[in-house]
Amino acid sequence: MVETNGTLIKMEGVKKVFYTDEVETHALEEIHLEIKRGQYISIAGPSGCGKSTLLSILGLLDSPTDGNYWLNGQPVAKLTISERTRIRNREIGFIFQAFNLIGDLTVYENVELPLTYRGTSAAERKQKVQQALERVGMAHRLRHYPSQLSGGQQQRVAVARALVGDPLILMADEPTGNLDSKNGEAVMELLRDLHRNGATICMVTHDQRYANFAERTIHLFDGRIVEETREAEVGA
Amino acid sequence: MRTLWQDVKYGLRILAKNPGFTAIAVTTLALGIGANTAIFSVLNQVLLRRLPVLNPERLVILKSPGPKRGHVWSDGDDSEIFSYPLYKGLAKNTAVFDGVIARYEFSASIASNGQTERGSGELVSGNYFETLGVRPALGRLLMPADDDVQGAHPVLVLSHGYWTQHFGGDSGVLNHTILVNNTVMTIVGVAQAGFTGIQVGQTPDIFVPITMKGQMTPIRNGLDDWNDSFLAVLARLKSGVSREQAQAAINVDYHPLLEQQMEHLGGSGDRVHGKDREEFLNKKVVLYPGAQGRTTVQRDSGPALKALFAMVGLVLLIACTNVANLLLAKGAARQREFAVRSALGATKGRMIRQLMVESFLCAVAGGGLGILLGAWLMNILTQAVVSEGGVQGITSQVDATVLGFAAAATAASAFVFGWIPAWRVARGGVSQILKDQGSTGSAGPGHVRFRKVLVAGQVAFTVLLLAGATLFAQTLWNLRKQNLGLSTENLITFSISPQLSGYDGLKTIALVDQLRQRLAGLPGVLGVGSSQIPVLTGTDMGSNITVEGRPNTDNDERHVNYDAVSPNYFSTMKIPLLSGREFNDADMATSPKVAVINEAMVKAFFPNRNPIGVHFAMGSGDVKPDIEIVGVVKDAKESHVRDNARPYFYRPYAQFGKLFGMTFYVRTNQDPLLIANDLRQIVRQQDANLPLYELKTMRRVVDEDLFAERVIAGLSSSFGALAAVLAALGIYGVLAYLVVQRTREIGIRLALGAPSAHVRALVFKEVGWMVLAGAAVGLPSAYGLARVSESLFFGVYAGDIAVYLVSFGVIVMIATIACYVPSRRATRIDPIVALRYE
Repeated sequence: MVETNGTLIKMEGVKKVFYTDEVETHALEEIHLEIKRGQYISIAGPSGCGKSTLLSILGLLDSPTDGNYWLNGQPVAKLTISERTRIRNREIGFIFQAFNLIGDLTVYENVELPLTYRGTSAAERKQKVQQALERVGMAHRLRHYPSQLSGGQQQRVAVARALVGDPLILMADEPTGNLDSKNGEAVMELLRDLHRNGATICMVTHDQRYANFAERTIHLFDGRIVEETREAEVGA
Repeated sequence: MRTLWQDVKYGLRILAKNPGFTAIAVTTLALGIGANTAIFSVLNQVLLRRLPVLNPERLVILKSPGPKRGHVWSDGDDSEIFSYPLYKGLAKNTAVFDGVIARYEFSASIASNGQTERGSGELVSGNYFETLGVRPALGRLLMPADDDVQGAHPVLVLSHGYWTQHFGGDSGVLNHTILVNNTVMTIVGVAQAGFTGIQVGQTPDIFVPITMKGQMTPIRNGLDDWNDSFLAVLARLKSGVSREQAQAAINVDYHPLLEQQMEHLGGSGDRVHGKDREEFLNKKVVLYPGAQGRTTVQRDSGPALKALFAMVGLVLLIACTNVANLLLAKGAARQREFAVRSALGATKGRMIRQLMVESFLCAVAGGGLGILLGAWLMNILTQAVVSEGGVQGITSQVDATVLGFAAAATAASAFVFGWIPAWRVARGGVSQILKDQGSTGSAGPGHVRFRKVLVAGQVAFTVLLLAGATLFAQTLWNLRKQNLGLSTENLITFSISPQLSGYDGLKTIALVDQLRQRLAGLPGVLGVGSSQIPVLTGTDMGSNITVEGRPNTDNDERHVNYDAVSPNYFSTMKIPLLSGREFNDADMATSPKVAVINEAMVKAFFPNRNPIGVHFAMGSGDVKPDIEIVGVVKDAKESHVRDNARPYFYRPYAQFGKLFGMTFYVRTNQDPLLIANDLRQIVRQQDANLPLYELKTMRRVVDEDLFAERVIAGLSSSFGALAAVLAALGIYGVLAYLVVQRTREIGIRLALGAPSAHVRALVFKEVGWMVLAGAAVGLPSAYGLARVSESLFFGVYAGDIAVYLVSFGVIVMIATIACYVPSRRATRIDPIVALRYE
């Protein structure tokens, strides 16, 4: 455990190499990154630059080949799969480009899922699911299945699912990628509201318009951080 | 628990939303579980079930392997049969046994309620029920006091089944009298429900004290004869006494009893000297576990039942493999769902649990349907086993054991088909799948490889079953082709047992003479014959013989089976006469004794001389050969279709003092069943109290003799066919998936100008490897299993290469058919669409 001083995420010298058929692909090289609590950070860059890989490692969906990673002061680079799973469930909320709602579950059941895996009581689950759906304006569609919703509505449900467990950080991977501009804007507004209410958000996007919603943007190229801009600079 | 319920609800929803998958999986499992349940039900009743008596594990069967002397009335294993004096001597041992019991099954002619029927009776020792711990359902059971004096206690106990079927469960039957084998007997009680004696396959209607044997089997009593062995003997071990201790103790008593038996051999012409005597006196009693009662049926049908159970087990395994393959395909389509679940914090165990719940729900549906299907199959199977196989008491009842088996098969199936797909889905790489935002998720090459391995496994099991089915079908075919030595065409048969209705020897002969004449007078009848031993029913009768001019050597070489037959028997049966003459009405009791022998007997006893005119005698020792051979006939099957030709002789029934029954054969010029009622009427007119039984065509007799072979061939062929269909489905499923997965590649090939044949070859190559790999495992395994089952075959052997070629040919054909649609689909891929395909 290290002193956090408001730091939620800290990465030092993180590398990710993929090995396939004797070919080494260096997806990430020497990533040094720090994210404070309450920050809204976006990761931008061209296709194939390593954005999603970085987000996967940040979200504990994958582990780095080398380097150190602390989440909330706890080293998480070398955790076992089950330890990573537990932390993902309790401390990270995911929003995916393709929404990734489970088609055979209702809106309510989709949002309830992280709490179910956590072992939360049914009464508490009900209360939290209701609250999360109200926050995204989808409480009136509890019994609907994903296929009965529009893309924008599905992504709102996905945001509710990410929020329901009160995670330390929301990880959003191209959250507007599958939406039209109107719905994309709406989702981005929703994320901004959440951030204003104190949520820490880390978003991957290749769309500069949406990157500008964040107060800080990291630019990746060929697996390296090549530039970092902050809200003031963006506004300037 | 609540989350488990959530999994159940979700699983039900998944199954309901995929009706095609659910229907195929449930039906496949139902077929496998149903077939297994049906076969297990019979296997359980025949091989596994213990007697419904008190502490059956303390029962032991007494056997005495080694040479036998005198007459042995055995139903298969001579070592299990003891004389009444020997039994009485053994029963005196109360140090290690709580009781020693004896029983003998007899045919009963039972007259009650104005009707005479043929039934089955059991002569039992007085302590039979007490030792077994069987209770009365009504009245009392037989007691030791009921067998103290021979012929003094004409009482009987009804079996519960007979009481309910024939007396409607009327409690007023107590102290009523019925006529059994012409003896008035008083009903003193009814045995407890469910108790059907101590031998699987036999369900006695009545239990009679053993000391009434003289009345129940009028042509022979045998109770005082040390050398008339007919009793099966069981004992109950005292508490705390082991089988080994009891065996040691009983053998102390046994030796002096054997010496006594030896003393009684004196005048029988069967004296024993020297080494033979020593060997006889050194015999021991060996105790075998008796919890299942006598194991005659188990011994006869055990190997076939076990082979069938193994085959049907393979069918279930193939069914499970098929469902596993379906689940793997479904799992590939659900990879994203489980990646999301994992991202949201579901542990691997939690995801496996959910998938296993789905598998169990599927299996439970399959198991439930399987039990219904099994009950239906059991009904068909048990009806056949009872009516054609002659094994009584086998029921189609779905009891707790059968349900337990079905439940276990269901759970095991769910585990077998569900575990690996669940494990493979749950272990999927989360990050990579989620990164693949646009696609629905496709499985990697490892996934496809594993599915191919499963199909190869299915092919291996199917080849195994097909080889087994081919061997058994070939066996039946060979038996059907057997030259019986007689013609079954338009031949009908029935039996009577006059001695059980009070006829003595002379009256029986007169009765048979009259019946033959009357039957011959029926319109359309071409010939009438009769024999004491019913042909092809597994019954036989034998004796040592002494042939004039031929020295007596080994006992075995002199033992010949024989029958007592009527005039015109051979012409009626169409058994060709090779030389001499057949019997005629002049061969009377007072005429010179004559015999007709078969070819095998000529080869064995008269290799270099004409047997006509030669005399022989039945028995050995100081006997005078006084039976003249007057004819030679071709070999005909007597006991079983399976039997090889062996020496056999026939004598006129008129020259037999004691006939214990007579079977008639009537040949007609049309369908013989058309005269069945006329046959009944003639017998009834002759004697209304004489039951006629086993009225059937000779074709049916042959079918019944081949019952076991027919069942095995029929079931194994059905299992083979089912396995082939399941394998075809498995092959089709994998190929269809492969074609979809390789659509882009095939599109590129087609765009580059690949001909259709090339594309088709790509698909066939895939299936070729699976079939070859399966056959490489399946064929040697089939050979290995065939080697250990060779005793079940006839005219075909484990190393018969044609059997394996046929099996391989069938699986190749099945694979080709299964391959047709996917390969056709592959050749019709539009390159433009395919290149856009992702």
